[in-house]
Amino acid sequence: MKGKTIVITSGKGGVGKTTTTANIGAGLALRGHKVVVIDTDIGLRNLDVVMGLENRIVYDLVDAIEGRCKLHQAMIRDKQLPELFLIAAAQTRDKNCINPEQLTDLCRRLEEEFDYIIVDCPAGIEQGFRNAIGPAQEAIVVTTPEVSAIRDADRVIGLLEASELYRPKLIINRVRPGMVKRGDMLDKDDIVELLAVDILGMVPADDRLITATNQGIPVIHDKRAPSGMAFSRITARIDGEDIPLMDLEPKTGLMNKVRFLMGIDRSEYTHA
Amino acid sequence: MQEADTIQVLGRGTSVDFTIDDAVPFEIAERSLREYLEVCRGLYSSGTVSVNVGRRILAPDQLSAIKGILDSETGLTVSSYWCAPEILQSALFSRPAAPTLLPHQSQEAVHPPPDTETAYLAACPEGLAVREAAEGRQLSFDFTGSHPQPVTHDVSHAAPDLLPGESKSVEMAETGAGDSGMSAEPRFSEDGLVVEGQTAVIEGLPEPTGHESVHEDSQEYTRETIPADSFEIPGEVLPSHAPYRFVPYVENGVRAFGEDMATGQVVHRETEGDAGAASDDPEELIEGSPREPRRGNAALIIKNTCRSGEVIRYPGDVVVFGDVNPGAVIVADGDIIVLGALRGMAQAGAGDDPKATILALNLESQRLQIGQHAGEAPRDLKRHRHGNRNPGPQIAYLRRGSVFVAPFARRLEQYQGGILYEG
Ligand SMILES: Nc1ncnc2c1ncn2[C@@H]1O[C@H](COP(=O)(O)OP(=O)(O)OP(=O)(O)O)[C@@H](O)[C@H]1O
Ligand SMILES: [Mg+2]
Repeated sequence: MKGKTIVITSGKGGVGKTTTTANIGAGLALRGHKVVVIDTDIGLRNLDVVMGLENRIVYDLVDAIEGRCKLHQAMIRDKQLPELFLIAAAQTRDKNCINPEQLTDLCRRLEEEFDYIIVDCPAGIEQGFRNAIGPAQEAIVVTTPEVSAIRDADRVIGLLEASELYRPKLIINRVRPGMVKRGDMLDKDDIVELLAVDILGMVPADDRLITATNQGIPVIHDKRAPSGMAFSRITARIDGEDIPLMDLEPKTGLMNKVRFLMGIDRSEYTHA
Repeated sequence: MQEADTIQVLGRGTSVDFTIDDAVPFEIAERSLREYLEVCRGLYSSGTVSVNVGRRILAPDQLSAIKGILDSETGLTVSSYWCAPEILQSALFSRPAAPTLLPHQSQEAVHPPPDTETAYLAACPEGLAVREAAEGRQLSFDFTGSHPQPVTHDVSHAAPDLLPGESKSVEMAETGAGDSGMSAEPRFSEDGLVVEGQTAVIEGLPEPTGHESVHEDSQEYTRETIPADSFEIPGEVLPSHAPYRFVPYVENGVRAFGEDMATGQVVHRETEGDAGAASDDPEELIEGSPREPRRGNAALIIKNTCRSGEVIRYPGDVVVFGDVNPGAVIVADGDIIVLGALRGMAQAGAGDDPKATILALNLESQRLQIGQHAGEAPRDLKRHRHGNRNPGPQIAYLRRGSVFVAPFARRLEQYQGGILYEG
């Protein structure tokens, strides 16, 4: 069996690459796959924190690459999902201490054992980016509905194509359907039209995601979080299920409004 | 092998580019250049060459060394230096001292070391043109133009009273002072760079070594060229993945410059086009060249989206089967046709052709340039188009020094009026 390596990238920082990696990783594991997620943001690691595995790191990616440990020693098993593993980034080194070939070697070895290898790419288009896209067979570009993020996504798509990663898939994160409706936020069609790529899904801006992140539990485990549901659907699409894309709709109806005002349900939207 | 690749030569006729590998130590580059010229002795008569130094930062004495070798070994005159954009940018923005890339002796003749970009440009020999593309990622450093004309700057004052059709660039005054070409000495007058000596022709340039491998690699690019007057469209669509596509003037064929994603090195590649066939007949090349560059070149067909950060510079017509996104730049000596949405920067007739046009199925660029005249879309463009988001194919053309955009109506003579893009 041969696994697949997917890189999650964006160009612009803070758009939700790490969040997406953690949730897609967990989502695929929930669907019964063997998954390893790799944090390549050397020097600024945080995938471990988002997954709540910070305290378990003994060896990291650079240790594995430089041969200070066996590959399996650098793999940290997830708390909830026994088939999900993390390889953490080194915190005390920088992006230049590894190269794309080394990471590609490592991923080729992991592909023998795992179904999916999800690579969390650092922001920017420098060495860290080159490292992360080196081993990838597929790419997912994360953007937010802001012109700056979209411009960077466009640039990154060009660079991915230059590295023979054609037709990357797009995730639009932190969408506010209310704002889109009012015309205060770019809508999906404009973004997809400009970037000329296929869309994998949209994730609403969601307070529950922030809560989950702070607890170190990927939001996909939260059955009531709209963002969690969005990630479930995205994962299903990655896994080959044909789920139609629906527009995010602001929640309507009196009961929802009351719940929202009472603080029972802090999320503004139903999912897509 | 390593050595053989150090020097690459491209182009024939009156303009030739030397590309010096930037990865090897300068001494090796210097020696390779000398050896290369040694082998080719007698093949050059005289003419102008451009030297591409890639990422190498060259001290003035190193530049003089290169110039010295070319001057003494051949009858060639160095007209311009090309370098990687980040090098030029650091020269422009962070190095207050006189730019290390300036090669000309005339440097002393100008102002003291500048400390701002403007001062820098002022201090550069006249004729320096800096083309700064989207977010400063691609720049060329060209000594053959007439005035400093950074695209990102206000150009309205750069070419004050240029009559349509009148070319101020590349003024190589022909004085007929023998044909050695060695005597060509740049002199700076108020009208720009004047080279005294003969406009020279280089004959019988040898095929550069290491060329084959370059051709093989070129498979990676979708730079296809078809003869301008042919209706046959190549059947095979090659995927393109040049992160930067930078096409300087070459007589035939297209060259893409950019950063190799994997290695971070600057790559120079030539796409095939009709270069091979055409180069068999030097006469033809020389004939069609400097005065009317766009006639002599095949159209460049780009069959994918031009994305942010990509720069296309082509001495001919450019056709894009796709969109040109914000942050992408197309500079063509001929017309630009975009079969999609044009949202990036486009300059048609860059070789100073006021008759050039820009046509797009969806013309959304905020800024357009034709010849030396730039225009900016009116702020209330939407209202001009009656709120119609996609008003159909539009054409941009030049009238009396202003850029106008009008619905495309098939016959060029009919165009009058339209929306004024103020310069
Ligand atoms: N859909 C969302 N709703 C609300 N907050 C979100 C959402 N997606 C991400 N965030 C928050 O945005 C912040 C940045 O997210 P994340 O760390 O995943 O981005 P990143 O792209 O990995 O950043 P970097 O470029 O620094 O690596 C985090 O605090 C995260 O909790
Ligand atoms: Mg991150």
